[in-house]
Amino acid sequence: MQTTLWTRASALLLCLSLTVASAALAAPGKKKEAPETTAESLYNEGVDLLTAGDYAKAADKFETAVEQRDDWAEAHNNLAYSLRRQGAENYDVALEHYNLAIELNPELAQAYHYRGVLHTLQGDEAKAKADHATLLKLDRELADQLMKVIASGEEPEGMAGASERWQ
Amino acid sequence: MLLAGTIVLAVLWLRVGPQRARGPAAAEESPSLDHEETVTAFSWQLPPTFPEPTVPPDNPMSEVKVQLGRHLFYDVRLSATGDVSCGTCHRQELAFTDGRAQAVGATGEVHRRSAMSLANVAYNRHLTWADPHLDRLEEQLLTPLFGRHPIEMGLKRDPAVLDVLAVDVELNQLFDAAFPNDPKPISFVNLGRALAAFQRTLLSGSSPFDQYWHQGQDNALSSAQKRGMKLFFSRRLSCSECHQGFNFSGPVNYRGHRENPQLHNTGLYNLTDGAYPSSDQGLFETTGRAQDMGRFRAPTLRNIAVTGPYMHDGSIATLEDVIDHYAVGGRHIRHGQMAGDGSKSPWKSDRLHGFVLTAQEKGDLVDFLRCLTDQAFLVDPQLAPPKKSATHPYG
Ligand code: HEC
Ligand code: HEC
Repeated sequence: MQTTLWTRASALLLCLSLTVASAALAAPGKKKEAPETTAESLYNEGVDLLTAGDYAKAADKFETAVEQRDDWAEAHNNLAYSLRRQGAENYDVALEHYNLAIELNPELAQAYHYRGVLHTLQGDEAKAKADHATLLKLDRELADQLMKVIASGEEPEGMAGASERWQ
Repeated sequence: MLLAGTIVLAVLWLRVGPQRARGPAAAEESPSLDHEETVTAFSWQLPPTFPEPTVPPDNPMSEVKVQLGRHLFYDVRLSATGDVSCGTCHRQELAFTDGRAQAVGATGEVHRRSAMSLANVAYNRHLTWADPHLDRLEEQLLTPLFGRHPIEMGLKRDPAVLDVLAVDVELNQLFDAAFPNDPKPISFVNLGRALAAFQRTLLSGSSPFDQYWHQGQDNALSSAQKRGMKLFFSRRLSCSECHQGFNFSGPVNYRGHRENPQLHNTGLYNLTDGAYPSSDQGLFETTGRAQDMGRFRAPTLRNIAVTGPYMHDGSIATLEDVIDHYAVGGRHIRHGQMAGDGSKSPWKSDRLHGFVLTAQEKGDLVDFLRCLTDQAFLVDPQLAPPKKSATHPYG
């Protein structure tokens, strides 16, 4: 608890100085970005596309979203998922984004869930079980779902490991 | 301006924390926490990956209370006939079941149901085979102690019963120590509290499956058991849709988490229009709703190899037969009073669709179920009857 608070506080300090710095750098009079192209709106469009099963288009949205906001764990998580769902040739890139998502937010249960699924699909049961062990501490329901996936080798139904719309 | 805004946002973020977005599929109704939870200094000896059980605020755990409960659990003086204890129908070596299809009470009356395993009973969201409202062990035990229909222990709620216990020096001391602030420690309420506390320590989580899954002991399971595990968790068989989670059971309850009640009709009977025999119709008896006919709780499958015969009425003898029952998607009884095809019942759970298994697959699945037996639990001396002493005749 203590550490999380400190991490957050220092992240904020960083954030603060960046904001000040970018405000100083920004050319006076430069137009603010139109709301429909913010990282958040791109992300939300991506979530809708994911839900509709259009993984390729969703991946494009998340890709652009993380270009604008590179430190966004949920966006990396969803990018990873939309990549993974497009086929085995994308597994390695998907894994990179899961790793990033978890690095950015070590408590993002959904990312462990779907990274565990990906490890299972890649045949790496030991790593999948390690994600399951972490999930047991974060979210037992997702942990149970992952256990089913690892034990059966079958992909899960639904999208419990995707992150939802940003509000 | 910009700086001030950022600070305000920052403070907000610090207080609220980053948004924890959840996937749409996981957006289930959040379980209500209408039960207070207590934090106590009691040291649970939990299996490594088990959550901490919920404990009612008016009955915090303590070592000495658990010891008292253990003494009482095995005490035959708590029966009208002086020869039945909780431990008579809940025998440790059988994962706290009795080995019978249907339990038999102190006076010989046959219970309509099979005695349930008490392994991990602390976690069950609702207790007994078909009562979604019964969720406190302190309350459940009144039925075997005092119930008349049927008679299980046949005890009278009579102070004389407590007087008998009061002359037992050892028990007296335990009651005093377990309820130090109570002017009258020996009471039925405290007896129930102690029994409940003991039952919350009946924890079973070190089967070969656990060694395999959580402790990385790859050879804890045979290759047949691993194949069986795959079947168990597969969509084709969907056993784990109802026997879920760490306890391979129906809905659970633990600190910070409370699931909704769940009961299912598994197509055991279909007398007419899906009716179960009038002797036991499950959830329907409480609600009177047609769709609740024959709905029962999915019990834990931990230690299942030693808890037969199976089902609420003990009507299936072996694990092989249980699997056959699921494979045909409901039991077909061809002759006699119970005749009917359970697979055609209108009230059968839609998760039961039947499946075809080869002889080898069936063997694998049974083998997997056997690896859920926790041998250490069945012989754990802390859960066994306490040593007999001259003044304390345990059964
Ligand atoms: C005559 C045999 C018998 C005796 C004695 C007996 N039980 Fe049971 N027990 C049963 C049966 C049968 C059931 C299932 C009852 C039902 O579903 O209606 C059961 C169910 C239970 C359950 C519910 C378990 C679960 O998973 O929901 C608990 C707890 C329990 N008994 C505790 C006790 C305690 C404590 C005692 C002693 C005070 C006791 N029993 C004495 C036969 C017995
Ligand atoms: C629809 C939910 C559901 C599914 C799916 C399901 N079960 Fe069950 N199971 C139950 C319920 C409910 C009971 C108790 C039924 C009764 O007694 O009437 C039960 C009872 C059992 C029992 C007997 C337990 C005891 O203590 O007597 C075993 C063994 C069992 N199931 C194994 C399995 C296996 C193996 C599978 C997969 C092939 C499976 N179950 C699938 C709900 C389910």
